[in-house]
Amino acid sequence: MRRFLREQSLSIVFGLLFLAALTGQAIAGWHDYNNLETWHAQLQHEAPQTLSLGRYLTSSSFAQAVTENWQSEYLQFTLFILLTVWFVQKGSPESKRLGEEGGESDADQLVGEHVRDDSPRWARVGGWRTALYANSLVLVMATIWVWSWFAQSVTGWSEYNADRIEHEQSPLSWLQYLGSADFWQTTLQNWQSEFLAVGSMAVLAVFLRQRGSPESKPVGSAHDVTGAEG
Amino acid sequence: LRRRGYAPRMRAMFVIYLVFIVVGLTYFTVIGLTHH
Repeated sequence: MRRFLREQSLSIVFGLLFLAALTGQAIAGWHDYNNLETWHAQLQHEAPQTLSLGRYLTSSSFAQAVTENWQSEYLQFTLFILLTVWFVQKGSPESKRLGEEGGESDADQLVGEHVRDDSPRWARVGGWRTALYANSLVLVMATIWVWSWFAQSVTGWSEYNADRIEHEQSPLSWLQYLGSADFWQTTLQNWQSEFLAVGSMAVLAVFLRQRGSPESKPVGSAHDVTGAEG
Repeated sequence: LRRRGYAPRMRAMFVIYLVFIVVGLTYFTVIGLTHH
């Protein structure tokens, strides 16, 4: 067990941070929802329809808040994996070396006649299975992105229509919601921050260092060395 | 399995993350589609 914890510590620590943050979001989001509902009801001289925590966790309000952030994170990683195949940044540890753009040779990628005994089975067999396996990381990340973006759209749609009905407006169809300012505002506000963070990471890591981190070049590595991880 | 250079427990976190994500996305999708 101790060996398991040590070998998997990165995913375990991030998993625990995720659960703690999600719990905090749920509790804060629940209070926020009930506060707004109470103020709104006071204004209308009505009794507030506050929710229990259990009911809030099954609400579109909570689901929309979670999924709009999930989709942008998975889009970020999907694009990062895919765009770094063809685009490079001289001096960045996040980039391949100049001249290595593209899918690279079978020798570089250890496929075809260059497979090893310990290569994964789908890398060894060739044909459609190797072609699929060669793109499996981006396919899974892109699937999670599209699915969470879809989940954001249906939960946001449900939430938006509840607001419209409350304000005596007719509800929108799902396709109409996809063209709404609300859907694109919640989508793009997340995308812009992800693109800025990835772009700045790629370029800041050319000149700045973190000793011991594989996301950084070695401290003494020259600024123009590309793709050398510490 | 040893021959391929990994032990079955290496897969544990891989499976846990994927299952969690699929269950979570299913849950949130159902909430949206049932207009909660």
